Amino acid sequence: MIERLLFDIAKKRPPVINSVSNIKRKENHSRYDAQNGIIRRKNNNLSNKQIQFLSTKNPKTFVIMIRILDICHELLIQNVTATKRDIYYKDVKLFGNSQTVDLVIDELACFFQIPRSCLNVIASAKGLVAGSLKIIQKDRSILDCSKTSCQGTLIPTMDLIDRIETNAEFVLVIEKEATFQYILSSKMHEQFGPCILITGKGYPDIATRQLVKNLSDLRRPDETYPFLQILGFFDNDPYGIEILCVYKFGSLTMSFDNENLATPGIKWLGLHCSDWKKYRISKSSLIRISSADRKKAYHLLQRNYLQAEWKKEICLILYMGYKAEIQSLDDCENVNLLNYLISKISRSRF
Amino acid sequence: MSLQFISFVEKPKAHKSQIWSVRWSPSGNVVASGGLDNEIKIWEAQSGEHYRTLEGHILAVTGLDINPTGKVLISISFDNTIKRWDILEGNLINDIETKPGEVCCGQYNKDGNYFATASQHGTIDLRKDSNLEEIVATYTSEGKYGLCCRFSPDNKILALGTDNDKIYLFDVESAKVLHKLTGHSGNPIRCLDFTPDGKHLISGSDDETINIYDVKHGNQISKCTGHEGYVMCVAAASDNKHFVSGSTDCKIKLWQLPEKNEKTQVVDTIEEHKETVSCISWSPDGDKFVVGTDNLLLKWYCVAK
Repeated sequence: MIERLLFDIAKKRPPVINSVSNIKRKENHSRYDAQNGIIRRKNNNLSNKQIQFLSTKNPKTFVIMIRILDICHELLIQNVTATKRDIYYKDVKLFGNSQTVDLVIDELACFFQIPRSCLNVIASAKGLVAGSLKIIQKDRSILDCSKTSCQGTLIPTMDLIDRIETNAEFVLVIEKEATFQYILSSKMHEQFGPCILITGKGYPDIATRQLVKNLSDLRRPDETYPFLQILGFFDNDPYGIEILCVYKFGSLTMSFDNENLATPGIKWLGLHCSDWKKYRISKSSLIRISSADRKKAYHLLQRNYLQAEWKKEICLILYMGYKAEIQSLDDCENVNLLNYLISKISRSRF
Repeated sequence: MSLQFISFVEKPKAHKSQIWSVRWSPSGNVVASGGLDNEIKIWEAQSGEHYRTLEGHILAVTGLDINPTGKVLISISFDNTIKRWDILEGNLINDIETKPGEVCCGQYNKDGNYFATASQHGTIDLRKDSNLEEIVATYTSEGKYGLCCRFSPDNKILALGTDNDKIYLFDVESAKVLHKLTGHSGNPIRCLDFTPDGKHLISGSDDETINIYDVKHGNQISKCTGHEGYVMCVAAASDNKHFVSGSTDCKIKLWQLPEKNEKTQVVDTIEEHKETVSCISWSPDGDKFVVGTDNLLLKWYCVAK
């Protein structure tokens, strides 16, 4: 790429970068792959987007891309990693804001058809994990996630991890950090049997998604099938369902890398609309959905590849007009979070 | 005069999922039902025999209505289409694409030449039956989300019930707001119906009560308590004195409208259902009605003296 640019400059022609468009809003660059159950990128049409040197629209775009390429090249030569934020701070004046850096790095990764970590750009850790899991890192240190004295272990990025070991029977992926901490601090999870708790703290980052995906692929040495069940526990609202979809199908912006990030086998443990009546969630803890919720629900319904039961759940939320958060389980008289989870987990295993 | 419910036809597992909309054809010969399983089923009105299934929607059917001749059915769904069907032949006549949230519920007027739909912006769009895409008039309100809309029996007034406890009465010709009603403590208005003489408007809400309004003067004349769940549907009887209601408390109640200063009385309650009663429709001759429940059940009742 650089060689071609130098060639152009030498010939006194204005240099042009041929890149690919990876804007989230333009959904037609990705499609659902029914065979593997994830969102993939359509053919990488290289002449999709052209960035011109000193273009009238956005003169800096060309320069920014070259600068980032330069930084990544340095990182690779020196065998050092940096976060997106680190890169942003290297030249704040040029980049303007951190979103620009995020977008360009994703675009470059997409263009070269490599995971972002191959550019030696890592994400700062956000997700938490706890339970029967040992993460052995490349620097030989071991993260033992079963130490209940701590509040969960930050999930390291996949490039730092050598291998993972567990004797858990299932993984519980939780939407909110508050619920995760509550379960951990009340030692509730000890009653579920050997398990792993993970939270992405809302919208999961790459490292969290990678860990969940790798856990779902783990096989015991003599078996052909993975042994860990992945159960998702989210709020009963369009936002929670969207997060579930990110775990299951992958996201649109990362569609070029969803093979490593999406967990098609994740099961939706709860919270479901049928739980309101079954577990007698009090009416006062149901929240009226907003127009933003409705918009998101309609948007989710347009994804034809969602399974019928999930579409029905979204229709129910839209029709009744109420949503429920995980906290509402503590408001009902008959059952609390512990009993709810035990009841749901035992039923999902069979 | 005391009235009583008698059941005469029952159809368990009428649908594969919750039934959200039911309509007894104005011509009296068929009953149509639709809901979460995306299908619309047509039943013989007297016997309950399954006549045919109208397939085509790819998401839940949230509302349907039949025109006065009983030949045409219009259905509304979360799949962002309005579909117009020939009931007897069973084929789709028109398939209209709408934007998400543009159509939440709809009703034919008494003559069947117009179809009104309520939208998420708290507006009613008046469409021609002959060309549903064409919106001939729009009635706007400050309401948050149009949950239900109803024509008055003389076709002169359109009522809109919204998500934030506001009922708007529009004059169909001039589009002026005749009255702005409230009275359900901020709760969504789930259902509306006019009495056949057009004098009263009945509203059901999530605050578990039903209000009766005087249409001409625009004031609330009665509040009916008794349900222990969201009031999902109300339907006025042909004698202008009674109406029925269904709720998430799984009960169907028959009410008698008050004379002068009396309170609205519950005449009878059906408690046999185990799931929400979502929709109700009277027969054109006024002595029978059909209900649809979340338990996949369709049941026909006769009201006897």
